[in-house]
Amino acid sequence: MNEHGSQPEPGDDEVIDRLRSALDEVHSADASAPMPVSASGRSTSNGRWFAIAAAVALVAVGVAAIAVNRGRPAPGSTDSLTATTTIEPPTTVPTVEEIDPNWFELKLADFTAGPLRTEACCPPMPAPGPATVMAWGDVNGLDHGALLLTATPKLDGGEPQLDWKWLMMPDDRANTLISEVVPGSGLPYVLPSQSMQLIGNGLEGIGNLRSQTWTNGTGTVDITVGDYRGQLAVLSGTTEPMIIAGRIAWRVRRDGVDTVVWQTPDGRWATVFISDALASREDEILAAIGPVDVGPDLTMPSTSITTPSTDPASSTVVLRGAASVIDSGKGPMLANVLRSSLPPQGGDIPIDGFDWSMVDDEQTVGGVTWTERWYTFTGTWDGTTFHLLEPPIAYVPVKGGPAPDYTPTPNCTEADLMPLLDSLQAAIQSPALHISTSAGIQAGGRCDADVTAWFDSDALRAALAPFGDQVRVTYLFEPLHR
Amino acid sequence: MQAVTLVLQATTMASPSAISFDEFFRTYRAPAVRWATALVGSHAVGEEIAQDALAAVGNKLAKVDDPAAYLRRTVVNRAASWHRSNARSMRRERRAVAGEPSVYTQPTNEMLDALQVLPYQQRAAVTLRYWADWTDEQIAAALDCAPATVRVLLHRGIAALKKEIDR
Repeated sequence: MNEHGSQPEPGDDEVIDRLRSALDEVHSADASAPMPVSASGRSTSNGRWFAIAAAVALVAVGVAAIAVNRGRPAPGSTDSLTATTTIEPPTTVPTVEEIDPNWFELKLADFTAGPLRTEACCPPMPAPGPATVMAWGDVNGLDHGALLLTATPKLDGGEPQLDWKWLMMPDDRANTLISEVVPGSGLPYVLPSQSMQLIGNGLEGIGNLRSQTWTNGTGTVDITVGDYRGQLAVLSGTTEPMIIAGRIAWRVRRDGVDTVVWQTPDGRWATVFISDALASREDEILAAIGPVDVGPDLTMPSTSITTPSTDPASSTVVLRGAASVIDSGKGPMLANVLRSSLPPQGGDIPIDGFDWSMVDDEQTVGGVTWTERWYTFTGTWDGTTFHLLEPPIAYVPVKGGPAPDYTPTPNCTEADLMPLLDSLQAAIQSPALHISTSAGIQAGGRCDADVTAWFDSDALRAALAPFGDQVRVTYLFEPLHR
Repeated sequence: MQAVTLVLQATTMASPSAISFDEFFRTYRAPAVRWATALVGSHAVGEEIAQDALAAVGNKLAKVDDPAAYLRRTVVNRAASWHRSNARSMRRERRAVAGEPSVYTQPTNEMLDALQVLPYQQRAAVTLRYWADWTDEQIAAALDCAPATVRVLLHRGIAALKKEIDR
């Protein structure tokens, strides 16, 4: 490089490369980077959940293997490779279910459970073999978008036919993501996008699967849990978020069948199909589906399910947003921006269900523990406490759209502003209701104010109602609707 | 909102005119951490500087024409302050432990060590240009100098790094 230009000289490139590598290393814990994705597509922040799930799954698989082998023909018989094995329904709760948080049951007295069926992966298939199905979800949650791929092999061995489907994202974003997908060396295809992570990879309609049917003489309820085999493909534009068995799920009604899909704690996929004959009891049935009783040490979130309420402060509305966490001795609390003293200060909303093993950048100084980064939290708010439904994931900033336009209202003066702010401050006193307030005079003389709030709530709406459209509100946590 | 003639803030957390604080924070937090990390060579310190800079600029969103440029300059200035403070702190620590056996060592990186010896403006120029991908004009605005000066800083910075790692 000469002294008057930016063009590198011979030898500069090596120095620049080493500089970049060194700083990449320093920056490797960048808050904007998505969490490393394991083969099952889950982030490392889920480690504790997976440790429990993995331990449970290992025991469950072991016990299940014994149970399955008891019901199977002897090795060497012609039926020993049969992919589907039937286990008669037990008269008492089987051991395998006592310890499995990844299996679900319908807890309604008038329904009778059918046999528990297991399908092992993968039976021989005629050429050209099954299609590969893959799914990527937005790192901020499935409601921010999912991309589904079906790669159908061809008989002549040529390039597979790729069919795409996307959920909850605009067409232009989907097309951009599709253009980024490349064949992988380990995985069939790779989407090298920081905004998306792999959530499913398998063979279409094939894979380990457990299923059970409940009947009551009127209709049937089918529950399945298994490897990813394209379960998300059932979702469509009318998909609604909901909670089932304490987890976020996606519900769609199609062809008279009410279908719900969700991911189990161990990263597999669960579905519920409710036949049309039971349409009048759908909500009751979904509310009665929960994990089997797993004992006090492995209890999953309580069995509850509700469709999103219209009451914004209802504890049944699933909310998602980004924040830091800080514990200054009063338990972990959500914080917007921590004041940069050492230790930092802040924290507005108590958070239930959180522990520090869910994050990986916590620091402790002087008895105060906090996260440096923001994480995306999903849960419910009961007006006092935020109840976590899923382990938090590292927050990835998403660029917002343009600021909204407002019609100026003339005749606001500087003297009008302070009373406006004072009134706002008096109206909103709880830190749980809002974060910041500011006011200004816009072009044309409009006098207005901005309020940044944690959540929408009846209490906040009531506090702001007297100000009418003078006040704009931005919520950090928003309902999981789209 | 097209123009704001007056903004009074009721709290230290301001909300915005053309861009909301939340939107600003979400958009610029990761880049700010990246810039600050490049300037100080520590992700943890970079996070702290970025957080402070974002809060400082966020309070003035309604008053500045180009929040991104203002943020760049704030990060660079705060990183410079940290270097000054850190240099004093390191000198104090060196005096305090002179002659004492070291009880703590951490892995070192030759390039990061080399960066430490560069004057701050050279360090800022090379890291922001070659790692954060700022333009010469953006660096010049943040360092309050002419783009031609940035090119001189880059030349001298790279030459100094070469010399340092060849030792």
